[in-house]
Amino acid sequence: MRKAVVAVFAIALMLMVPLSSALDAEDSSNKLSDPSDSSDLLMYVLSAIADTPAVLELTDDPDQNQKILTERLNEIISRVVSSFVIDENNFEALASLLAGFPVSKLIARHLLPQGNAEFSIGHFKAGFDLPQPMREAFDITKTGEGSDSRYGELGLVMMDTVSVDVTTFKDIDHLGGMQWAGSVFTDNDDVIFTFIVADNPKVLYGKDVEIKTDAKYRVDNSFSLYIYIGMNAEYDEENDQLDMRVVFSGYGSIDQNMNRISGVGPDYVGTKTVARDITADLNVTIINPSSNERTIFIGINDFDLDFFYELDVDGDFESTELRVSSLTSLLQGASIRAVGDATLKNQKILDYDQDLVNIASSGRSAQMNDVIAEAKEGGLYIEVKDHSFTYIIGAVLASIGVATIALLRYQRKY
Amino acid sequence: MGEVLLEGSASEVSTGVPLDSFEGQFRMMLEKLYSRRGLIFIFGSLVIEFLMYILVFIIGNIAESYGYVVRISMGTAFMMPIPLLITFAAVVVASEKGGTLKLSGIPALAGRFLGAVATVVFLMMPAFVMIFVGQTIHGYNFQVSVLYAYFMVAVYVAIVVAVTMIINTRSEHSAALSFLVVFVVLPAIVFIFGPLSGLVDIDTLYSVIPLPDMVAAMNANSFGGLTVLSILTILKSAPGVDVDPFACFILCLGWAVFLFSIVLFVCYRRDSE
Repeated sequence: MRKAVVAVFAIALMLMVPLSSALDAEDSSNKLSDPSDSSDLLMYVLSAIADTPAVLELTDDPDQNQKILTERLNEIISRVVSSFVIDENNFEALASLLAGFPVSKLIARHLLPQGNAEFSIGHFKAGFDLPQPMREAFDITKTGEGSDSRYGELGLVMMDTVSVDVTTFKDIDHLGGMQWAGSVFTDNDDVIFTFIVADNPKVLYGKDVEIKTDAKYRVDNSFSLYIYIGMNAEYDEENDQLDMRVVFSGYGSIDQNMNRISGVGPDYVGTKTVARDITADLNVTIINPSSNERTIFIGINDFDLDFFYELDVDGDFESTELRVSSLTSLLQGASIRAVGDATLKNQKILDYDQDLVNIASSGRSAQMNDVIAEAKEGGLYIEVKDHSFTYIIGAVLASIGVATIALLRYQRKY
Repeated sequence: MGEVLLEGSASEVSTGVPLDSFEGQFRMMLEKLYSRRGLIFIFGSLVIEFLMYILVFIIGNIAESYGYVVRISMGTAFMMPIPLLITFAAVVVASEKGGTLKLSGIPALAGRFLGAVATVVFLMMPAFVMIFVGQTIHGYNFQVSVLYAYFMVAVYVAIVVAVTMIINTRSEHSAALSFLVVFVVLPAIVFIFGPLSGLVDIDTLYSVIPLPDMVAAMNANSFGGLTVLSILTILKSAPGVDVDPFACFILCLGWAVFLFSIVLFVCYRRDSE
């Protein structure tokens, strides 16, 4: 009996320590700083995008698309730099740069855009409804077509093909793979492959080819992107602390088809990079949100990544699937201070439900709701995971077991 | 037959229930809860869980000294030692100390089997209460995953108990042998056929073979805890246990019933010889 009492006492003692540390955490309220300077980038971006739906439809006529894009870009730029206007010439340069960027990152660094950039039929849609507590925290007074709810949603849908001519300014002996990660990848691949599982990692190192200087290619970059962000926010004015639960889901793909026009090299090079699933469920705590000395804590409730990569050189193609490893799940539930130096003992985890989502959507314009709904649907990753095999195995084993028991009991009188 | 049976004999005297009945065996197993070793286990499991709790802060402080503020998941830290603890508890509770299993008859064997499972489930209760309390303090609102993990303890332990009983009919060292089989050999085979050689997709293996990792994975975002498979995946990475709680539960239950029927069959064969 005495042993039992000692055991109970020890248990109670051990439970007390975490309790008391939690109580301490409640006391250490975060230091207040003067939110005087609020003209930094984050504030600027947030107030610029708050409560705006934007839809841009591109036609199948490239010239018409250039007109539409120039007009839109000028409209945006004029708000920032009134003296700068985009005309036909610098649009061409800008488009080449834009189209050349994924080529240099995903195929080879020594490919230079040579103009003749074209935007094909596609669309860009965005709807940004920031949650009301977030607007309060960042002193955003503008209320456009967004709702005044504590739940906010952001949707982004992009789909288009950008084509450009490229030339090689140097001999290329290797292309594809994780060029974009450069030496970071090759120097640390042991570490990377502990956290990422690839079924055919060889393809991530790219392929050896021979492309001579001044070879000319035409590249089509087809991309599609769906990003949805749901945010539930709570603002504590007294401590100047913004707590958010951010749910992120996304799908993105970029297909590149590179066909030779002239020069020496393979006739065709294709890459396909697909982020089939990017899911993240985060707790974000921002202390002193409207000041320059803000501190951002990011807590990870859940995240998942599922990538696909394919490289094709003249019909000789290889692909790999990339998933996060079980070791990566150690980080799930972790809390990381991303910016600043304030301390925080416990992060608040806000819940959200369908009611909050409904309230938010009822306060928005129909156009914004449409954009957000499209982004949500496109970004949603429906995992084709069939557990029926597991159920069948379990049921079959259980049936064999029950049959054996019944046989022994009633036939053999055991 | 050693200490265990002596304790059992005491129960027979006090309650008047014969030892080779369902109730006699069930009670004998449950009495291990109050035994000295049972209390030491409860105390030990709480100390280990508490150390894991402290470890979160130690790692956090080390990271901070390098300039990063990172706190690892409380749930993952708490679940890390759970597979080891339950497997250890199950093999010790289910094996006859210093002898082979000599019971016969379905009622007595069923009583021993279910009694051993119930004993381990009760032995783990304080540790799970601590996990629940610890997580609640640290802001986890939705805690159904702890319950899933606790249900998984019951079905996974049933498998370990059955394996121990099968080995115990032939060997005196059933505790060590069955620990080796379920905690070391089986996960190593899964690793060799799965991630290392790439012969079978790891998801397929997870959906057929019950592993100790499944218990921890319920509350640790599909991280298997301190298990042989998890440690081996440092050599060659593998995706986490991605099976839903219900499927895992049914799989382990199926295996448990099947292995229990093997226990009965083995004992029947032994008695017929």
